[in-house]
Amino acid sequence: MTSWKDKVALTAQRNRQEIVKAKLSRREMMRLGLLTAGGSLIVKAGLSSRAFGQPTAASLADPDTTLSRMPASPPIKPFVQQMPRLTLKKPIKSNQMTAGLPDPITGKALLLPCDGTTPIDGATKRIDHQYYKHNPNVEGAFIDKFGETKFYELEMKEAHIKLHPDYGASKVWGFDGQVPGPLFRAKYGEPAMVRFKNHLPSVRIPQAFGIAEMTTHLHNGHTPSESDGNPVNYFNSVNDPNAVNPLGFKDQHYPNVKAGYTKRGDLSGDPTEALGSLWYHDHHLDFTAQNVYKGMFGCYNLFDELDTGDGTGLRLPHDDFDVPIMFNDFLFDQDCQTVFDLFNLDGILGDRFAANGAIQPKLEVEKRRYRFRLYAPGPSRWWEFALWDGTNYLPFWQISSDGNLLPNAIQVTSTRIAVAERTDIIVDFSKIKARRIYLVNRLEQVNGRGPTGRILNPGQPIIQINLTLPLSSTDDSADPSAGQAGIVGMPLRPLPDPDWKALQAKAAKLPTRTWRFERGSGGWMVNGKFFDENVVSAAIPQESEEVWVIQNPGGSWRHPVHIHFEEHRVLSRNGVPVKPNTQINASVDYARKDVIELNTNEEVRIFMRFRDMKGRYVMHCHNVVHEDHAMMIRWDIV
Amino acid sequence: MMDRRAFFAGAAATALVPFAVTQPAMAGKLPQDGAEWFTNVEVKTHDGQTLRFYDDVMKGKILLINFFFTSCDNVCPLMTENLARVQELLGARVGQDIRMVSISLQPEHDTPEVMAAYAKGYGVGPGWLFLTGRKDDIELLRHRLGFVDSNPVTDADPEQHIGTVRIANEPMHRWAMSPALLNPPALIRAIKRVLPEFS
Ligand SMILES: [Cu+2]
Repeated sequence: MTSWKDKVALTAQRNRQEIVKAKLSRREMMRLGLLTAGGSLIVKAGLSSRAFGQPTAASLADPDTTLSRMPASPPIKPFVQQMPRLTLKKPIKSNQMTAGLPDPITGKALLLPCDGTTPIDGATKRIDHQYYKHNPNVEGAFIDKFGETKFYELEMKEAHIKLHPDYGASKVWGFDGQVPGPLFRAKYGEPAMVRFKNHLPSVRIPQAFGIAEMTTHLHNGHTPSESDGNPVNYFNSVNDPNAVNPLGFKDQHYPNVKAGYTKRGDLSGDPTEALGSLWYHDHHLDFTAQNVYKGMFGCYNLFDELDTGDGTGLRLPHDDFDVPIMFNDFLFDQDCQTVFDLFNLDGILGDRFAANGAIQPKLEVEKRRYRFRLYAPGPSRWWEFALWDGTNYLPFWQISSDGNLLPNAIQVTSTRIAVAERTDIIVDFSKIKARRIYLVNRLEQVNGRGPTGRILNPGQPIIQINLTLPLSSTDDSADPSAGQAGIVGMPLRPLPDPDWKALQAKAAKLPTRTWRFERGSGGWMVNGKFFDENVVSAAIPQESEEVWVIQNPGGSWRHPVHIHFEEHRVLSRNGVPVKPNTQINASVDYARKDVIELNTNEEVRIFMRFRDMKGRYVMHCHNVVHEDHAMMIRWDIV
Repeated sequence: MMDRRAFFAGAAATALVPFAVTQPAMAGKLPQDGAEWFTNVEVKTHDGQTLRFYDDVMKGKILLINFFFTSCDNVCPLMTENLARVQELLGARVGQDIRMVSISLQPEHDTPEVMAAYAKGYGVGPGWLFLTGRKDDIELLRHRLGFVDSNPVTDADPEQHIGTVRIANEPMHRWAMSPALLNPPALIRAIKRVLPEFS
């Protein structure tokens, strides 16, 4: 048996060989921070080796055990595989919907259209959908309050996927067996009914981590409570036929309606409230981090008359040139299986970086404009993305924050997203001279408590982008600069409250609630309490407006705080009002948001509306390890 | 006392036999491999036994694990009292497949005799073990079970580690955490969440 020191040496040697094989030039390697001037490999997270052993007095005293107590993932050659595109989810007819396991003789599953009900509370109860109701005049027919329903099915199942050609297959759980799950391209005015079918292995089969019951939250969705993926609305697998919900499915209704329809008295809502880059993921009480890390997340994009998805309206890059990318960090054991430390309550980090389920892929592009939708599904890593050509950081256009279009495009050279945040960017490759550039993560993070704030140079390369493809068609998208010099570009979507001063003045008079996100009693708390699903921390009248004050008294951790169901506007940070983004040094806080980057010792004031629907929702830290250790509150619209 | 019946209603179907620990052959090694991770350090119980921590205390059990110390007169009494009510609600299953474990943060003071007196004071029934041991061993268990704080000053304060109970379905590697002062029916719901095969 070799000593751990020998293993470290061996792994380091292998890492170096892999890099050499990947044909990175010496100059590139030095720029990437992988090589010292003397030629020796720099040991750093991502390409380092770490020893795993019994803790010593010194290691016990060291609070930063997040990555150091785990051995490094097996080495890989970066940039050898293509970045996968997400599979497009197609609707089916309502009478094609099925449930349960296929019949062993006929191979067919039971045909079972939606019956207007859905299970809640661990599937112990069944209630009616609020807005998808039986039509009393026609037997078996239903009326969707918001339009003609499109029906979808998603099958949650176990799969074995190679995340890198050098790796063996890793066991994952995914929607339709894919990680990330398939891409929905939904439209406002076309409500969706999604049947989530749990075909995961029985809960009786031990897992290294994760639980085979699921409740799926459509992140950012203006969704009726019974379809919101509430943490207690998990349901069992079809492989547990003796459980409470033997057919193992749950129907969730996504109205795809803009907020504010009640007050307007229409069924379309406020056009300035349109959402764009949403995503879906598991939200099981106590197990969200494990299940998400296991692969239970996917992408949901929404289009309307401005952001049309077909080159009309704002003329944003569309179809093949509209590319969602979900970024993950994973840690693998020597058998290429993902490792989750169940006893680290600070947060979980990995040392391998995946884009759309492929570790450090390459992407071939045409010399034209692309829209990239950047997603951070977590569990705990924050990112600051930049484009690096080996010498410079290249400018690009940020067009959204949390997936919602900004009032104007803003030219930036990096964009930061916390866990669960999204940012859409437009990159004009026709203006880039280099033939090869890298998408890098410049944000240093050494433990699960949040990034250090240090900006790396050049950062961790995630995707190698090669500008090699011939132009397949003329670029019909709009130039985000709108022909102007400067960082403020084309107008996109106006904000619901365009008069910033008026909104600040109104907010000063609104009722206020304060939420303190804090460490305590060995877990993570809000206002000194751990989550209890039966405690309603705020009962809020429908159609009301409030100011919420979100506080972090902690000096050594950050919390990406997420509020379900409604967007918010950030009014101020530590008393300093947000600057509208038409000024130089613009803040992307000047946007509609669903995640608050709550930094150390920070107090953020936000403006909230509670519109259209009643029921129970939650607010929680989206470092989902914190969420699972009780940093969540329930609030109800009454 | 609503929840007791609800909790056992489902379990009755599988009969109240202790939970069979059958693990199918698995590809790869589980990362938290019992004895390696939790260790087999020697612990002493309030009723005078000497046990190996993983093999004798944890293995194959549904566990409620918390830390405490007998001289803590602040939160600990409320917590122990609360857990005693949980034990009452769980009934005979504590001692069968469910085990409650309270580990002393002041092992040098909390001898088996001291803990026996403490347990008696709270009417602790069978199946609930109060554990002590060598200071270093207990520290190791505290870290391995995740009762740590990243701030060294906070971490050094034993009262910071007594607010929560770890709930585990050990053979299934299913771990959750609940506040120790959560009302007993809610705590039982949390236990059920690591035990869906019984619900
Ligand atoms: Cu947090």
